[in-house]
Amino acid sequence: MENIVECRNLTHYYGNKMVYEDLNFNIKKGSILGLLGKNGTGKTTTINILNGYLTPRSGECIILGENSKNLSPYVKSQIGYLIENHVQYAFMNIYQIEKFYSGFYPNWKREAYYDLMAKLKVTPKQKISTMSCGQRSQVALGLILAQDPELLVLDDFTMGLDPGYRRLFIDYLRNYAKAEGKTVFTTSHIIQDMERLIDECIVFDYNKVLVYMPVKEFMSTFKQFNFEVTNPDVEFEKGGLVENYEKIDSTIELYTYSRANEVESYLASLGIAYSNFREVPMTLEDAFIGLTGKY
Amino acid sequence: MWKSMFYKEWIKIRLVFWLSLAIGAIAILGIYLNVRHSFIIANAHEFWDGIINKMYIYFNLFKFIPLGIGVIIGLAQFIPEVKQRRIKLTLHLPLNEEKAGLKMVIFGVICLVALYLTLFALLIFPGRYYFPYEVIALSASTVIPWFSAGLAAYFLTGMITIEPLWKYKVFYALLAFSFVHLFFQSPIAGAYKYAWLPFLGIILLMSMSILFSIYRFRKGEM
Repeated sequence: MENIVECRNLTHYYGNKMVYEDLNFNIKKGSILGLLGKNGTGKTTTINILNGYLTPRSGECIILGENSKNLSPYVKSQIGYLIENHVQYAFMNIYQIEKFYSGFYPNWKREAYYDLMAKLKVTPKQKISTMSCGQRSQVALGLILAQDPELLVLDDFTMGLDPGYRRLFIDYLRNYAKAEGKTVFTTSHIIQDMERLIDECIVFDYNKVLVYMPVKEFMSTFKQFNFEVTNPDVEFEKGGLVENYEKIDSTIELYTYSRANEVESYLASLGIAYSNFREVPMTLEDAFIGLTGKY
Repeated sequence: MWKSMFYKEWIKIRLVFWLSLAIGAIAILGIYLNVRHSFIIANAHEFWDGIINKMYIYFNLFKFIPLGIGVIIGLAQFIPEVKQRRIKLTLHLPLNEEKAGLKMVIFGVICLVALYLTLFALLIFPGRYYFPYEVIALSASTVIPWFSAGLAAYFLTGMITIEPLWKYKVFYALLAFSFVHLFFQSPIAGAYKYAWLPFLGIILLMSMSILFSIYRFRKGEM
């Protein structure tokens, strides 16, 4: 399948602080890729590199066949970009902003924008700056739908939205992307929302990529096992079988890509006495926290 | 695309534009009321003596108005772009980034020139009612550096506002202050008669300065 985005050996530092080294990922045409990570792991940095707002120390991102450092006007017209916090020209009203953007895109779909605006309880002359965060998110989404781009880049689109607007945004976006065969690259802090939206995920930790695979594969292979140990001072070495673990008194939450019998054999090989061993079902958010840790 | 870009810029500055025009016009009205007062009620002889022999500038009240207009138009245009880093939206528009920046500047210059020409006409032409041609010509050569300073201040305000790093902002602001200060060195009418053309050359070079700040933003200086 054709790749819309290809990032090769991406390396970036802020001063001496490494963000990541040799990051590689592709986004296939028609897929929805979610970039998950805690604050400061490099999500927005990646989005800035993709959009050409940041020059990486080394490596390159190829978007629709062009290096992101020098995107042509045509390729930029094929990228719909939603900035963190749904930032738009807040000094305009919904009529003015549509009039402004329509002058840049020959295939502008005015109806797509006004269909969504009709659902908002705003007056045509109301400035965007006076709208709620949820309403602003719909304006930003409406503009992207009217632009009708090939690739949608969404930076933390759920920030500041209440559950209703989050659900509305995600359902609208997923239906649109799947119906029109659009490619989406998105980040979000709220992992539970991503579960409804994304096909593939990349999980960033500080300086490294922990996971890059389809969400279904991740959810079927990554597991949480809980058990009680007799000796609460027991420690596990991370890497190998144990991806991560949390200890709450004598209860261990162990996160792994291994099966139950492999984990039990591992515990036996270490001579650890345990009881009440069980697999715990996880949501994507549980899996994310399990993998990256609570701190 | 020009039309759309100008539309956005006009929405940003239209209030400040009309406000600047109103303040400039009120100041000019005040200047001529004062001239009329000097001729009719106060000592007309002393007033004439000041203008002819001491090169007194009868419209000194106007001195910093073009400068203020240049700064305020620049702020009105570029602060909304840096607020919440909205410049990213502008740079993401389907046109060359440098062209996007220059279109914004060109619109600002068009508005400033329109304002300055109007205020220049309002300031100079009514003077013919009171003064001979020589005084009016000297007045024109006196105010041109002030308008030039306003234009320079506009470009410098744009560059300082868009600049992503504070230490550079402060550095540029100090340079800007030093340069603009040169236009207000002499309190004598016509003092810049032979100097304003080279200054204008420097100002034209400054018109590109915003591109440097945009380039630094795109390189990721934050």
